[in-house]
Amino acid sequence: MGNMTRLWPEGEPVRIWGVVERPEGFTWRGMAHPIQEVCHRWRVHTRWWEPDQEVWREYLKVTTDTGLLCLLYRDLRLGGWFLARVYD
Amino acid sequence: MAESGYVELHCHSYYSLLDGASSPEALVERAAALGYPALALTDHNGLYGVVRFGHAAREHGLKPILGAELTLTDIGHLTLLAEDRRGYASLCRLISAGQLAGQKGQPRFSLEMLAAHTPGLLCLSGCRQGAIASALRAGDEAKARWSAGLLRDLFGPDHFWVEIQRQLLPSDARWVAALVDLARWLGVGIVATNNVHYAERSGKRLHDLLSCIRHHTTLPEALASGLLHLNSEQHLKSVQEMTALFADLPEAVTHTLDIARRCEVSLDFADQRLPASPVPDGHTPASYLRHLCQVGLRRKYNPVSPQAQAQLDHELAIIERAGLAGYFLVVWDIVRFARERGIRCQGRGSAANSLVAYLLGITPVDPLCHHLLFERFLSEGTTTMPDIDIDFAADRREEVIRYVYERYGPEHVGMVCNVVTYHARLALREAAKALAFPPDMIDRAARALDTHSAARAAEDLTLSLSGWSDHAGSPSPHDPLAPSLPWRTLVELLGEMEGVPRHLSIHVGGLLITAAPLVEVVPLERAALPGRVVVQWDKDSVEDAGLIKIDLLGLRTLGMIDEAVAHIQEQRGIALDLDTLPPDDPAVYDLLRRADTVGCFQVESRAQAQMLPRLQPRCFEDLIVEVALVRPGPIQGGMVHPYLRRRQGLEPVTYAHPALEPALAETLGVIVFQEQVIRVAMAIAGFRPAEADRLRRAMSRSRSEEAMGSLRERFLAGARANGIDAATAEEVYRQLAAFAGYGFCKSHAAAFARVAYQTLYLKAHFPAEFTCALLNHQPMGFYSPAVLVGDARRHGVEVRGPDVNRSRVECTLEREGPALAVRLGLRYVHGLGEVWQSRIVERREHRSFRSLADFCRRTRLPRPVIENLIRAGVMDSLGQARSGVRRGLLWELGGLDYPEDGLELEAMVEPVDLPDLSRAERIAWEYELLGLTPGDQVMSLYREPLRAQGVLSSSELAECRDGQTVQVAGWVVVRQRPPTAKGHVFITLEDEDGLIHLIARPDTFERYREVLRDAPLVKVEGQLQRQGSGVSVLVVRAWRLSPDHAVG
Repeated sequence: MGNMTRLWPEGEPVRIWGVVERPEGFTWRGMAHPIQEVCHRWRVHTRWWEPDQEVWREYLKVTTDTGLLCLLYRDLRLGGWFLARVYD
Repeated sequence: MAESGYVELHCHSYYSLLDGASSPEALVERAAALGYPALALTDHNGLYGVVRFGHAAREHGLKPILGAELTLTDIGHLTLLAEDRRGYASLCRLISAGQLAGQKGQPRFSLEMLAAHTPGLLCLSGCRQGAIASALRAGDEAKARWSAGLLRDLFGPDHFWVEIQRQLLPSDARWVAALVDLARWLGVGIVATNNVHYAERSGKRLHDLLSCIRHHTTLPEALASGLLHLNSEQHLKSVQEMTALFADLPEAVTHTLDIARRCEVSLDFADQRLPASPVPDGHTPASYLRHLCQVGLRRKYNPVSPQAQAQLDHELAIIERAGLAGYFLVVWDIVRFARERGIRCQGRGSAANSLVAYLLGITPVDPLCHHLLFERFLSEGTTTMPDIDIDFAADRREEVIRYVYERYGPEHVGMVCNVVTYHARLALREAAKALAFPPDMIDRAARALDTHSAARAAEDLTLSLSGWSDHAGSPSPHDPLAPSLPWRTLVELLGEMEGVPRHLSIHVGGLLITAAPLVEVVPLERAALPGRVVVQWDKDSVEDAGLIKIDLLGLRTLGMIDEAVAHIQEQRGIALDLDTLPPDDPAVYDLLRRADTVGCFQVESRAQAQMLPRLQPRCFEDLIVEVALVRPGPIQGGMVHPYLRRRQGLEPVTYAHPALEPALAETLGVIVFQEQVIRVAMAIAGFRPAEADRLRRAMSRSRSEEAMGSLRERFLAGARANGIDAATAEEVYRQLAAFAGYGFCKSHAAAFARVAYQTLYLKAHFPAEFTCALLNHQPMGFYSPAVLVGDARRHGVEVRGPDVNRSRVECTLEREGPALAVRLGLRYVHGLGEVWQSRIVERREHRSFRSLADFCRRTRLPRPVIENLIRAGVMDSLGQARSGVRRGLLWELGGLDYPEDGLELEAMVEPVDLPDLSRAERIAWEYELLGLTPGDQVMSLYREPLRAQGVLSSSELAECRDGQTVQVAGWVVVRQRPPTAKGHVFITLEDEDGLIHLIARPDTFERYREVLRDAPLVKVEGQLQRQGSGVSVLVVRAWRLSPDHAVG
């Protein structure tokens, strides 16, 4: 596949473990990915003016023990963690 | 152990003008709730909010830190904080310099300016748009180092910090690390800030919206162009949050506390109030004031009564103890200047309660004779500064303002600003536009708004929304709402926009004069008017800072009166002294009782015209009540009817307690004046005057329930101590509270009533001079010139059309035997600019225009303008034909070879006789080009067929009985839909004989909307309503009168 990124704009739901604000790892497609390091953390809050389109998310860019570099986000409005992107 | 805590040092309020969403108070409240010991206010390029901020901070036990974020042209944003009073002065001077160097709303701050104003200022390196951060973000480390080094050297290492922010943005890590490195390299401290733009996270929405308004764009476009903050983190955060964000850099947080501790600025300017007033040798301001008052006392009261002397001594003692002698002298000096120049002026407002002001010639009414109350103006122990407002003849107010600038120097004088905040319609328009509503939808929704308040508009829209969801998504035909749009979001935002400042303008007359150079007290900036400068505080801030402003207002009526008096002198050789008129001229009261008041100050409005025949004023005191009572507030507050019923003998005059009689007897037991609220509180609850005035103020503004509660307790306790039973005391308190919000200051009403009386006197005795002066001071008052001219005609004053050989620019008087006629001035010809008006007058100075060709040759006016002059009848006297003058002149003009810049003109055509204009054509041309018709009223064209249909004229209407069904017709001169009238629409028609007042119920108005809202000429059928000698027609049916009904 070479060097490419897999991207899910709406995110793939994942189950996390640890504290909800500070996940220690997540389960994606049946496989557990313990988080090794949080490289970056930022928030996005916008599009509040479009009914049901409001985006309020906290993004984490993490590396995992399983060797992934990926982008997770937490939906701060409705709850839940999602996988937004995996950098291959 | 290290001290814990955090202080926000970079914080924008909504005074950052569309780049901040919260009021200073909201920020302070939030900071207090978060346990901050202090808070800074750093609005963009100004100190607009510091007074409000300072007050709120003190109320919440927070230390206010005053600063600003400046935008430097060379290096970008910079955060400055005042360490002490000297720093505050530096900041004021610096902001003024930058504001005055740029355009209005676009200041230009240079590094040189900054370098010249560093003493007492602490500098933080600014946000992402700051010099250092933006250079770092651009990867230009050398420039970042250069800028940082420069700032450190300008301010000194103890006064400069590198500002770091973590707003949970993707780029945080990179630029914070770079900034920290740079600070270490420079040997200066770092300090954490959150660049706050709203008190709480929820403020992000309003901030986004205001950003769109600032950038003239919509939310989706602003998002696409990166103009919005990416997230909602720029609110006041808790100490724990900030400490956690900077856990790796704890000194950045502790430095906020160190800086907060160092900043100590008080905004008490009481000692800077006024420049020392020059007094003659051997005098202090107080002794000189006393001297002037004694002279005035002997002049105005002969002999001087013990009562007058006692009142003067009482007032002077209070004035001296309050340190206000100099203030009175300053105002006296201004009034003296105006009088010397023959500029009519008089004080208005609560100052007219003061005998001192009366004796100094500042105010026109005798407070003893009118039972006024000094304590409404100033009382012992009061904390608020009194306010003296003076009206000047509007056309000469500039001379007075120039005098004040010259007298005290431009460094010490400034105009108070007016902060323009969002009102309903503007809020709706701008918010809906930002939310990308379609323009026609915005128009319809904005037009449908009846309220001024943005918050009320939000409520109204909410109501429509809920009504609309009941219809299960089927909006009624008049419902402007379309369901697919984010109406709810709009409604919520409108509620938040109430009170948000949009821009600054000049306050109508507020002049601030200070002892210290003004630029060290408050920053100056440019006003829209070229060359004009305003201070960055509005009148409330000026007052709350302990400074005194003087309102120098322009009142056109005063200039009008001066002109009428001059005409009377010139035409009749009568030196009329209006200031010494006896107040009991029967002719004046005849006009009032007939409501024959068109053109008269304060008593001409439709509401007045309806009330006057019912109130039947017989003396000057009645006129004062009339002026005070017939206003939107008292009408809305239901004050008018109790008084009216008692006056008409329909209801007995009673008092809740006998102790109220001295205070309320003058208004038959009904509270009408603010002075009475004070008197009642003193009589019933034994309040001291200052306390009673505090109660009045608290009742008239919407104060917190807490503050009201404690005042109420004191009132009731005081009443108990006076032996008044609880039920009575409660009742009196209730009456006070009900009326205080609408009550009017009697002294103000008295001052205005005097002007009203003077205009009535002129109208009654000198109608031609009155009309001429009135027409020369338009626009003014309630009616258009057309109505004024019609009214003059009905009072036997001939009004002649403008004439190219007789008219001057202004209207003038022409004598014919004993009669005077008004000649309209050239200013009344639409489309004839000032330059052309004066050119016509100049070019005929030595010789009249003899013919059209002569006129064209000597004035060189453009052909279309000349054509209009002919059509308006201005050239009638140049006509050579025996009939059809205006057509003849147009014919002649058509034949003139009239090149743009040719020198000679050849008259090529012989005069011809053409058919005369029809009356209808003539009237139509005159309305089009003069806005009025000097000859017949337009309704005369329709009278014959109307009479055949049984339509009555206004004079015939007066003979009809109450309840009778009548038909009337006329030209619509006033349309009103006052918010107080629950949707009723008031329309006034004019016909040949006078005015006809119509009332349309909301449903009638809806049914005949097209006619009643738009038609210039209408016919209606309705029921006659008679109240006293006042008559109106309740509309039942309405028709548009179209030109083909005319006969002429």
